[in-house]
Amino acid sequence: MLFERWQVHHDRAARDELVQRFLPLARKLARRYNVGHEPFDDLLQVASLGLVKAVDRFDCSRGNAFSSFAVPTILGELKRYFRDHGWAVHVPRGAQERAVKVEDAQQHLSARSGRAPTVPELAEYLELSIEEVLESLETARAHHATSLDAPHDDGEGESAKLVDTFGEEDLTLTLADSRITIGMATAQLSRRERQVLMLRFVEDLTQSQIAELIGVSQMQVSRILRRSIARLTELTES
Amino acid sequence: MNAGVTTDFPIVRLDLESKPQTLTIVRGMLSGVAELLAIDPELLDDLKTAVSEACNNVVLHAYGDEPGPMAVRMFVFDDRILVTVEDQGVGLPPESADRTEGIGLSVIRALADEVRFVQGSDGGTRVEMEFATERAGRPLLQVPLAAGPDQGWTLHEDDDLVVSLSPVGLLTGVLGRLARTLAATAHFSLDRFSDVYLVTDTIAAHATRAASGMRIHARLAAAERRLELAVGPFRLGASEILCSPRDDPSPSPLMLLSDEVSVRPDGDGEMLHVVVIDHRR
Repeated sequence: MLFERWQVHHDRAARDELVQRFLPLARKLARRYNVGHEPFDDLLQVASLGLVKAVDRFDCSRGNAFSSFAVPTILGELKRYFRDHGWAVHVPRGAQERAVKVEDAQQHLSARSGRAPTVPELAEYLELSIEEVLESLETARAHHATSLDAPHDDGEGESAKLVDTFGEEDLTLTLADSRITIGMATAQLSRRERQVLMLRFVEDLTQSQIAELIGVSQMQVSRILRRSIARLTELTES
Repeated sequence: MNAGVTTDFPIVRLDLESKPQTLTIVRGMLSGVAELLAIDPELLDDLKTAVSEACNNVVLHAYGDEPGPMAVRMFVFDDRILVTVEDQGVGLPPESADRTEGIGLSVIRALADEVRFVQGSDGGTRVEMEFATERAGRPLLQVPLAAGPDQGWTLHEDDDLVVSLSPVGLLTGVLGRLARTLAATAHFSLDRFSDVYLVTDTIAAHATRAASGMRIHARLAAAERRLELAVGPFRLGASEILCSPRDDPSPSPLMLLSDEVSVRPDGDGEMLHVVVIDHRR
């Protein structure tokens, strides 16, 4: 028995073999904590350290399964690592970086296919899980909350000029054609909000098309819509 | 310490089918709840990991290779959170010894403060996991109002999922996450996917004003590029305002964003039914 060879006879080869054998366990646990905070290799190293500790401390004479002893030891090591680095309380840097990647991929795939990609397409392109892409989209939205009205610099400034081609009168959202008159309620909205609402609902453009037209990202269009719809709902229901 | 499960009401009941995407749905639900309760991030990590393991166990073992019904319930007590995961399947697999595949249960044991495996009400297994909500004298969440009785909707078709929430405010974080997960797997393009945010925001805002009781239910179903939501109960007549059509002087934002909006009677109140379709060419 390997544990006996290591713990009783101090046979280092037996110890190495034990660590090798249970490395998949450590890897599996490290992956559970791989939520974009930190490079996976670092986590794997921490988990492996926990595994070595478990191999050294395991009391094989008690007849318990090694894994039921090793798992809490390894998890404890991972959790201590996270606590020491304060990630539980800070905005995970890795998650933000991933959110930027998702947004870049979104633009790249849109340009390639001429339409906005689906989440599974983004996941496949970025080799992420659907859940990771979903989380990145949430992060991106939270992040954009602070830079909502900052102009999107596309290096040309051409698209932004389109904003100015709509006169104030047009922005009342009163179009005879479509008979949509959100009217009074929209007076409470900013110029840009009214404009985005009109493009979305009167012109029936997609968010990507609006984004291109007014020179912001699709995510910002989404934010603007979200905010203005919330306000409209509030106003129409009160 | 042990206020029994039977005497208190869950703040969340989630009924769904055990499929691989189930884990994403359940974790999304937990994130949504965490938002309202301001659950400590580290505790949330533990909750997500342990609950995922319990759900994964159902997906992999409870019904052979088939999906089957499962229920996740979440209770909040003064000093702890209780999450239960229940199936109606073949019962727990024997706890495997040294195989690395069998680590799910060890992970649950390591992360939860207390774990019980009991026979479920329908013959399957219920895993009960408790998590202390205080660490070193510091509370790890803000406790909301007490949950109301749960006599609500249940699962009745294979592809839908039902969530029951109390207090109603939980809908704000939870409905959007569930709907977006379904829309993502139903291959919505990001344009239409983003509209789903607006739809669920609008419904959740409506719920905080118009729900008829302490508890709100939502039934969600998705098919290829199609998402259906039914939410209620609302006070009778309260949802009419959401149905003003496109050519109305003041059209409802919900109407503009969805393909179908209707109000249907439900018990003493009414429920709102919304369909969102991605019509892209």
